[in-house]
Amino acid sequence: MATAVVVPPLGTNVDTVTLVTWYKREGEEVAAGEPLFAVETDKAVLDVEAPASGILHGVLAAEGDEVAALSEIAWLGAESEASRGAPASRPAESVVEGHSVPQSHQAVSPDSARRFASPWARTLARERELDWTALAGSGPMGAVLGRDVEAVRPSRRSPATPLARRIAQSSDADISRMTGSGHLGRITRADVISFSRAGEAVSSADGQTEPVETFALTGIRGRIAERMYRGAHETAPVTLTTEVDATRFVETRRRLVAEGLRVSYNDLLVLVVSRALREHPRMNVRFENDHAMVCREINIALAVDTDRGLLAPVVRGVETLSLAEIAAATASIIERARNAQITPDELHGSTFTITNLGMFGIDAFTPIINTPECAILGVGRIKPTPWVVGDCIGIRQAMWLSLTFDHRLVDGGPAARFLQTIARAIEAGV
Amino acid sequence: MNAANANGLQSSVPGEADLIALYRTMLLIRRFEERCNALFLQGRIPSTLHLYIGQEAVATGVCSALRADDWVVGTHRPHGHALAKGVSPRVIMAELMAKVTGCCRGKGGSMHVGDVRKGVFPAVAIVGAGLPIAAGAALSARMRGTDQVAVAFHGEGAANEGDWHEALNMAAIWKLPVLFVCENNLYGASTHFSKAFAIPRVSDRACAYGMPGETVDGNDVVAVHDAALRAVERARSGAGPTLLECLTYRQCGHSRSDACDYRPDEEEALWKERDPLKVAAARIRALVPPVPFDPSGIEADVAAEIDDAIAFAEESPAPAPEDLERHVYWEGD
Amino acid sequence: MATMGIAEALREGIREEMRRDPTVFCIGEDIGVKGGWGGAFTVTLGLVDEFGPERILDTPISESGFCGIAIGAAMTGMRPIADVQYGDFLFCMMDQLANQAAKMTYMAGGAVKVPLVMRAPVGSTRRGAQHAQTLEVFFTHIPGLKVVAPSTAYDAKGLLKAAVRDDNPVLMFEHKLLYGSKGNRAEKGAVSPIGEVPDEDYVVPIGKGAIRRKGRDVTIVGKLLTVYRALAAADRLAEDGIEAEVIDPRSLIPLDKEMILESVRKTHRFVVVEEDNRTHGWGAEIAAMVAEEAFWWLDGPPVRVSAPDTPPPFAPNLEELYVPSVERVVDAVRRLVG
Repeated sequence: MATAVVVPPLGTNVDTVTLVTWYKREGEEVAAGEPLFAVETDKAVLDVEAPASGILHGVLAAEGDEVAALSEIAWLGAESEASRGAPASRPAESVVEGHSVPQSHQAVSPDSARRFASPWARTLARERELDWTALAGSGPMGAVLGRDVEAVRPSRRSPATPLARRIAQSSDADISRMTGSGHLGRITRADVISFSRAGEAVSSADGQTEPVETFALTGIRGRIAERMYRGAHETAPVTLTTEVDATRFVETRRRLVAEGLRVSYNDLLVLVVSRALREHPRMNVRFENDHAMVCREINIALAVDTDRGLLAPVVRGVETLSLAEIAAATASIIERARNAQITPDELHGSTFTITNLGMFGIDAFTPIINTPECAILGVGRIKPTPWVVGDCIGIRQAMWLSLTFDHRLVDGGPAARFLQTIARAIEAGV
Repeated sequence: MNAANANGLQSSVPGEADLIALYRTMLLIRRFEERCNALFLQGRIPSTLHLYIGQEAVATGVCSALRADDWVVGTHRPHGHALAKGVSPRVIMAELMAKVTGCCRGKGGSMHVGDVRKGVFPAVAIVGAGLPIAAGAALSARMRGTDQVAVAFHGEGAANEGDWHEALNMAAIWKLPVLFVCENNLYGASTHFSKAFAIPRVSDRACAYGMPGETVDGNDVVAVHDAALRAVERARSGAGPTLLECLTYRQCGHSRSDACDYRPDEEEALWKERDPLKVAAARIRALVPPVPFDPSGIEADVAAEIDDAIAFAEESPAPAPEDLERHVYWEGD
Repeated sequence: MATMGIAEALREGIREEMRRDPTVFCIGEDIGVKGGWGGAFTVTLGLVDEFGPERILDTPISESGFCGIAIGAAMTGMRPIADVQYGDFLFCMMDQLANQAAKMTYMAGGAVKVPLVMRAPVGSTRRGAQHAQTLEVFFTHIPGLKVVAPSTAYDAKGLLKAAVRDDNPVLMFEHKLLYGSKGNRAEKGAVSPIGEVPDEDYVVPIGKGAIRRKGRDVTIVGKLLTVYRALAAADRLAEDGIEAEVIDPRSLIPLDKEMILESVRKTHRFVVVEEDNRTHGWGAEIAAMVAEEAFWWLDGPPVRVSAPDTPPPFAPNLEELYVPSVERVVDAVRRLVG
């Protein structure tokens, strides 16, 4: 009777853990209760014991893999059970095209010491001067795949012929930046010479830099990427900019803080924008299913820079909130966004977004619309600026506003009038 | 190089010079084939040979009724067709010896000799398959507005292939300028005519397709020439195709490996009596008024031409190894 | 720029080539009958009105014969576009194609050319064993023939024009479910690769493949209908985060090997999807080529998703099992990627 090896649900608020180590290899015997593998949760590294005695078969996860809680990553059984059904999650073999490897677990059992590696894994291992037989394999029958080698030694060590290495050393050329034209991409003497010549000709301008880190567009990064891409490519964005005299705006905040109301410029901006949106309802829009829906409720998202990336938590029903309530709401969501406690619901349903880069010394920029909204307001820094007041030049607190809007949904005139409304409110001190 | 043919006779009463020229062509084919046989036995020609000995009057008589720009599609027994249509013995011999100077650069061999510059297609060695191709050349002539004529030589065995019937039918429907020349030599490989046909004459089938069919003595070059000329004129005038059956005999085996044990000796003796060269010589000698006829002079002339061809072929190089993968696709003129 | 299906795109391609070059003509069964169908799948519909019965030449039911006639015409200065009503009938003319058209140039040592186009509809379409086969591989195995298989309207016109101008025999395979024919000649279950087709003269060069979708995790090669199966599978795989690169070679002979190999060297995984029978099939050749020339880049075995080794069945439920489905492609890729 085969027993499934299951990832225990150890994390409290995560549903995946990282598999750190296998203590046993495919085909090795293990006793019930013996440590079988180790996982890393958000808090600690924990050993997981074998749920039964038997031979380890059908290892599906490699060291370094993210594995889902409760997923089956191997099974334990007698040697004769090596060919017994794969974990249920594995699709059934089709009569027609099944490639032979998964069907032939039995092929490995007579000689369970036999290890497999894909050609690509062998190529990488050779290139990186690595003994693949020492690696845990994540492929069928525990075969070492390319990704298993990558996981162990991701940095690419250029394969080169000994002669090429010697020449490169003596001429102080960086072999890691060269492309090989030899067998399996090995760098040859000719490559070193042509690289050096090219270097002389174009100084060091080549695009062959080695990344210090690579990351995939997944998770939050993936969601950001997708929304930014849509905002940039699926709308007709136009950005309007205007410089406003924010002297009174600054004074208002100072006064309120002095009176004991801890408000930020963002809170004031939320208030100003929500009033302007009430006056220009066509800017308070969500564009869904080819229809622009003018919303009664004003839900303003604030772009927040967090360790995990850009988040835009939403303050809901702003039109019904007092300034104090706005301040309380924004403080709460910003804090929770930064502490990764924000819920998905708090990241959805906005009708307008404010993004403020003033604290980074940015004056003006072209924000990307946070789809499915119609517009986004970019706020620059407030800085003392020479300003024409009447016939004199005075020093005023100036601020740039950048409004990007979707020209499919609204024309330049109305958008400009909307921005003007905001500008006047700020100049009037809210 | 003299091959008295193609452009030859336009009259149904060949004059003395014409008859002698026809005789010379037939003799050239005969001696060429005999020398090929000898060279084969010496191992100087690789592969087998299908010799035209005994059938010389057919190719010679038909091709003498054609113009230089008319088309001929030969069979697996094609040396005679090519020689009669004016292809040089040099390039044929070089081809048989697998030399790069051969008419097919040594890539065709005996069964595919041809030279399109002389109007001779690479010979089609699949029985019957040449008939639709010749009909296509005829269609092309009409579509391009020329008055060229195409000829498909074939053995009587081809008349039992599907392509034969399809080609005759379409040529008749569209009145194509094509001449189907059936060389009935009595044996399809080793199978006698009577075992393959329930009718006495192949030409009887012509009426089923709505075209004229005629059977002539294929060993009498004058008879062949006369009938071919009528058919060619008919084709050129737009009246459509003709099936011309020429009764003849293969004096040697089907191929070099054939001992002909299936043929009665008396039959072979009878046909050798009616050898086309003898028939032609008798025709010349019967001309009134008599004409000077010097067979041994012609013999020497022909021998010299073949010697020259053999010397040319032997001196020529074999194809280079890289020729193997060339010409799979068209490489340009 | 007009929007059209493959049947119409081919028709426009033929029309333009016939206007451009008086040596181009069509030959086949039921292609120019007034009040008829314009061939089995409407491709030549109406062309007889412009070019007359001499250049849209109807033949009796004599596949081998008219193929030979087209070859003879091609060898003597014409550029015929021949077609068969169903690709299955190519077997009737096998000698003319395999022994004559394909070999003429070689056995003449390069002295003759055969600029012939032979069009043939293929693919399983509820017609059973003798009208629904996938035949390309029989011809890709014959040196001397070129073989193309357009899956879009743009490619159909561009490849047809390239084929007409080519000095070699070119077999063009067209999938019955991709014609985009309208009215009573439309096929049940057809997918419509209708697309924009330029009005101006263009060719799609024979021997150049097309990457239909970019991806990094697996290379899927399909042709004709299976290109669309592969693309649908790629959409589904993308939901799981598996990015498939889909390649449509368009020309089977010559094959854009480098495009396939370059992709495999990037993705390290290879799946070929074909409606051909599995054993000794087209996919087998492509898989062997990948195994041989990109072996050290492979992270798993080359995988074939093929029709089983049976004739095309008639029963619709069996036919659905016969032609590789999107599910089968998805399944094969999932198991390969692991």
